[in-house]
Amino acid sequence: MRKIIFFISLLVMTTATAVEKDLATELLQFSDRGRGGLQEGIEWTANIETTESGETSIREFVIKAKKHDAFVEAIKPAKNKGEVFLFNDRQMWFFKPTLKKPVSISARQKLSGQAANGDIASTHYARDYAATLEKTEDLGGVKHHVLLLKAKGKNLTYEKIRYWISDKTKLATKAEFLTLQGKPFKIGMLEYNNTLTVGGKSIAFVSRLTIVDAKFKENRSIINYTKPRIVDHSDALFNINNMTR
Amino acid sequence: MIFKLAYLNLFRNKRRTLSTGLAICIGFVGLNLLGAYIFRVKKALDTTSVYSALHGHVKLFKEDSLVQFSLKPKTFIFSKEELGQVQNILNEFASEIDYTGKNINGSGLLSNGKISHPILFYSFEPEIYAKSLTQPDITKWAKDWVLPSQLKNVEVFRNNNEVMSVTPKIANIMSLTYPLASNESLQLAGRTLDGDLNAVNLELGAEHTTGLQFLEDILVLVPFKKVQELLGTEGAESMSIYLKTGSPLLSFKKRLDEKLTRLPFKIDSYFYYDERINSVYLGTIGFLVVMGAFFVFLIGTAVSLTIVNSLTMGIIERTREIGTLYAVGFKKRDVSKMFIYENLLLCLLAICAGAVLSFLFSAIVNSLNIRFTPPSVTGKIQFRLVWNLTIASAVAVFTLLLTLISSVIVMKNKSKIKLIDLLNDTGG
Repeated sequence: MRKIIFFISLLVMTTATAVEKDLATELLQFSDRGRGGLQEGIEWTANIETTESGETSIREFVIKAKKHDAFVEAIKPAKNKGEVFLFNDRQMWFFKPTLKKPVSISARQKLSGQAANGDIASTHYARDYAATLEKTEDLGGVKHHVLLLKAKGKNLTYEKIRYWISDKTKLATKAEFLTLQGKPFKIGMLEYNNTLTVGGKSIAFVSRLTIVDAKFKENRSIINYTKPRIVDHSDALFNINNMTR
Repeated sequence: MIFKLAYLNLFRNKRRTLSTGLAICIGFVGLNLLGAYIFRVKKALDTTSVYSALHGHVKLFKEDSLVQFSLKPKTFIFSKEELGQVQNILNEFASEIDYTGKNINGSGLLSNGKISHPILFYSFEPEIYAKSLTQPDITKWAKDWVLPSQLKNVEVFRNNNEVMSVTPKIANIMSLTYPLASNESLQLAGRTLDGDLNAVNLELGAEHTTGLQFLEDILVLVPFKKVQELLGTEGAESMSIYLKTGSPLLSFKKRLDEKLTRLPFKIDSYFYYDERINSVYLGTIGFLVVMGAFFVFLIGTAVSLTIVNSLTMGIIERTREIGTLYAVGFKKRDVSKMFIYENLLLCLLAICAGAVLSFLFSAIVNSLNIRFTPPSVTGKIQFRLVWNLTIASAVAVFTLLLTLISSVIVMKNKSKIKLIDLLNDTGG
């Protein structure tokens, strides 16, 4: 009798864990859509305002993404115009018109202030990270599911992320980017005031990501997302060989 | 008279004289050769620090730049105008300065379109590089730290301002095409002073060695103009001042520091051997000094004990003779002097023989071209012993002092014995 109770308990616990894991993955997949994680081609403009050590700078990029690839082109300031960051799956390249060959770089490298290269174009967290549901909690009076994301492979922007997904909208509203020891070193807050029409349906799309240094709060980057639209990009756009002179 | 007696006494017990003399001689040779090795290493380090590492004899940075430059490069870089102001002051020392160079060091990614490798880059100005690597001191003291190809590179750098130099290890890591003078296109990526990612084109045209294992897979040499282009600046992180031979280093820096205070911005100046810009120098010299001190202690103790032993034995054997000398009117001090002279004379002879032996030994070792790999140094270097008269003289003075002190201590103890006891002694 005891054995039967033990096995039933074990079965219930295992099933519960599996269900939680499925729920976490499902939430993550859905929330990715609000950050550009779509199967369709998509394009938007990102304006990054960085304040670091009292100095403020502004950068602007046009991001063209399709599935797991992204083509990020700098348009402001004028001196950076024409610089391109190309994401081929998890491989990232930097190129500018005067270069003879593109340079392979890491998604973890800083793009501007607190924003890493990967912050503006990493759209598929569900593919890159394994999610587990940690807890649920209220954030701004709204129930949120708190997920812990662990990188599935190397070369990802972050090793671990604690991710708050609204139970109501199924969109991420807060992210803590964690060190290997599990302490937050950057905190991101997301807003969704853009809309995007996908397959005739209107979905919410991220409008602002504010990334603040966990230690030095005055150091921050604000990424404003504008003009999101569905565009059918040619595969050639994401081919690194087309960049070599 | 006493001196003559002392000299003649050396031949009374030839075996003991020979063994004591041999011990002193071996000790002297050991210390002398150790000094010759340390001297060689120091000279090699001096030369490589000043010329190969392009530190110059004195290096100038903006105040606190050593700590702050990597964090706030825009604030701690010398602007073009500031460089001009510093140069104006340096012009006042034209009679002592041979030439000056500008540097920017930093980190970035070296890419060949397939692989990106994290590196540290040191900048060089082709003319300064050429002048530095062709210094006679490099050939004399540090030829093992310069690849033969580096000397050929001098012209390559002069003719093409896009050519960079990599170490053979980096070439292997990045599968670069050999020969490295293939002009293969490479890209160097890094952050500008504004914090933006940037990259510049370079050509693979040369190879170098850092001389240090831990730098062999990360250090590349990039033309100064290219580094300026990468960082988006017309300034420099530091200035290196190369002095003319014979210019007084300490007084030069003191006078320069005084004049630099006239500038509207503060400057930190460092000697090439300053730990803050050249930790390898201090680490290596520190290690050799500790090792040297240990050997000096061992050899000094051995020589001292040999002298004490030999002298004590001599006194015990010659107690009747000492008693007779006292009886015929010799004073205690005269007898002590005789024994001390005897040992000093023996020491002098041993030193003369040791000087010749150490000189010959150094010459033989050098001609054998024995090569070895010191810890953390890349490649093999020649085991060279540079016999030096100053070191030999210093070791000679040390050995003589050791002999004198040992002899005086023994004689002070032994001269306390009463005359009657000495005359009654059987001499056994």
